[in-house]
Amino acid sequence: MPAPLIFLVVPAIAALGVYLTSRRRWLATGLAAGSAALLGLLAVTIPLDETWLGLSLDSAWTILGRTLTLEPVDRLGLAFIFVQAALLFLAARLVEPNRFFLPLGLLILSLLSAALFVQPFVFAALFLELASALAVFLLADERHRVTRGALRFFVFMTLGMIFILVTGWLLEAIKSSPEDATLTRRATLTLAIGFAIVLGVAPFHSWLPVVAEHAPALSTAFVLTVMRVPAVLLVMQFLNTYPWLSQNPAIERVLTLAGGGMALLGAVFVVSQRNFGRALGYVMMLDIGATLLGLGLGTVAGTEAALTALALRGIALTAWGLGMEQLRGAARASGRQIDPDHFDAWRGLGRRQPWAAATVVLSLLSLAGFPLTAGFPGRWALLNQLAQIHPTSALFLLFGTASVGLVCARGLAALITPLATEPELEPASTLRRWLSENKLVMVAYSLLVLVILLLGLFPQWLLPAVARTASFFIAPLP
Amino acid sequence: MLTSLTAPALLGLFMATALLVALTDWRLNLAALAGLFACAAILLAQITLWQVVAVRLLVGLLIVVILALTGRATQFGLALSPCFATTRFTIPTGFPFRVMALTLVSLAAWYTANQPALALPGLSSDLNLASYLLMGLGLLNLGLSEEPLNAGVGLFMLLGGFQLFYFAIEPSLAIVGLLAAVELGVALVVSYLATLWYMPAEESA
Repeated sequence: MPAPLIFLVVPAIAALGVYLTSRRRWLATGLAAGSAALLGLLAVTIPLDETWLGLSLDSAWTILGRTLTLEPVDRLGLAFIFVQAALLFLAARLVEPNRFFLPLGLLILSLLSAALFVQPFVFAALFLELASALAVFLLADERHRVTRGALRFFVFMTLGMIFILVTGWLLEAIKSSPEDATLTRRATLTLAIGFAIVLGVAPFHSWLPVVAEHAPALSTAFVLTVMRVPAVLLVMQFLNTYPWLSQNPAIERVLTLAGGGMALLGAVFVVSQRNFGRALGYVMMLDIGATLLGLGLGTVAGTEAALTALALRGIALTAWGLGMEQLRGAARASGRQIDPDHFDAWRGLGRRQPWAAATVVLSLLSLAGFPLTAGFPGRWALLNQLAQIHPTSALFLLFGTASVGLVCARGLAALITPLATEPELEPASTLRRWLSENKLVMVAYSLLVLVILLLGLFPQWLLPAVARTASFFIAPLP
Repeated sequence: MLTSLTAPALLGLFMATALLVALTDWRLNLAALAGLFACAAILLAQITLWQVVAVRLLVGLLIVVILALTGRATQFGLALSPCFATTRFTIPTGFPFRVMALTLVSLAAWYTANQPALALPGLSSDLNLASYLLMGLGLLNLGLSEEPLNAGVGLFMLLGGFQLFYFAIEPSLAIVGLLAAVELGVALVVSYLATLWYMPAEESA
């Protein structure tokens, strides 16, 4: 039996089960999160090309002339995708998510697995495009009717797919005439444009703040974590597979320029935000910039820093999604007739929803790489490297962290300052009532906050796994 | 026989894309989109197997049906129009601008297709022109509108132009199937977003 088939078929069957049991939320959530977590575990433990539990597991599966292969390099990426999705599926039980979130989320996992497995890997672009089509259903619904962000996201993913497929054809042409410099230049250019579009590098970033502001928060978190991993791994696979690409100094310059530019733009735009939704969009620009800067270093340490940022982004984004859903719900329930994400709409909500408010602020700080949060170790390692090679880019990243700190301070001030028209709350009794009404939510927030803080203090728990993945991509070339 | 149909198909393709860019009325645009798929299939038949062309025609038909059903459910976008009561075709407000942009992009596509250094490999000059025209005008349409159906039509034009070129260099059946799935995915996305866009406010709560 081909091992890739397990990761393609099981999520699809689970999606059907989740859809059929959607009225029983506990069952649907358990099925979605359980199957995703189980597949995440299988991704790292399943033995390949040998017999396991009476099944003969092959690492490759050929269908219609294309091969789907589960390679060692895919294992950790696959595990991360599934575990991160399981976490988001569990969080969905605590809020009112998009009605397609669980079943389509599982189907997207199946397509992302195919994107990781398919050989030649340029065809991953087609599976990423199909996954993006399904993601649109998560990013807009009857309660979130602003379709602009979802449409822009999808249009950019389609454009990116076209450029990556053209690159695939150019790479084949280079194989037959490797001395043709024009072909090499064209392939580098189309690849750079394709990935710039898929990763949301400026000027193709316009969907990021719109999606973060208008889409359901957990769906945003899903798209920005689970769906980003295969794209970044694909970039790394390209760099590792084609020596003329990885040894081309222009590529490092382009990655550094794009990363530095993203960091600067993110820092400049985020500072004026008075809205935690849009702020996240610009924080993600900062984060993408950091990832590109790490890859642009071309060293194991740089790749490790990029992968650490990618791996730790998920926890912070899950926390952000959960907190945002709760605060948006509270702002809507309070009947304030203004933009439900604006700081003015959230005035005083921190007193009624203290855990949600603290979680949103802490998660944004973690994404910006603030000290004592999960995002800090990776960012610190990157800053150390950059300070020696590209000090200007390091300054841009620091500027970004400071800007996010400022926005969080401004938001926190709004959250804890009550409206003049509202009656003064007695803090102790409010907190007691909130705790008694939201025990499960409180446990979830506490766990997420604890993990963010603990990974900030003890990054060595995660770093060996990240280093192992990085070593696959920076392996010495034959 | 197919070669003799090239010029009429190219002309039909240009007229269909021109209508899709210049006008925003769904009812007319759906007919133009069906014409575009038919003309693109005739052009595609010169470079690929008839089975592939049949798949493309079938997918095109399904797309038009999906969009027509969406149009019917949303009263062809007239519910949000200031002249809701009328059933007559109206000219969009930016019509002169659209025509000017259409002319400029068409000229740019024609110029690019005639540059030997920029000619797409494996294609005759007519197909080169058709491919550049579709991609250029598709991008223009995407830039002109954020209304899901008009933007979606832009995506179909872009994908149509890309496929004319890509099927000449990558004729594998797996890719044909996956690109057909992508096009159907685009149709479903456009239909879903258009339904949300035109949903009356009271239903959104």
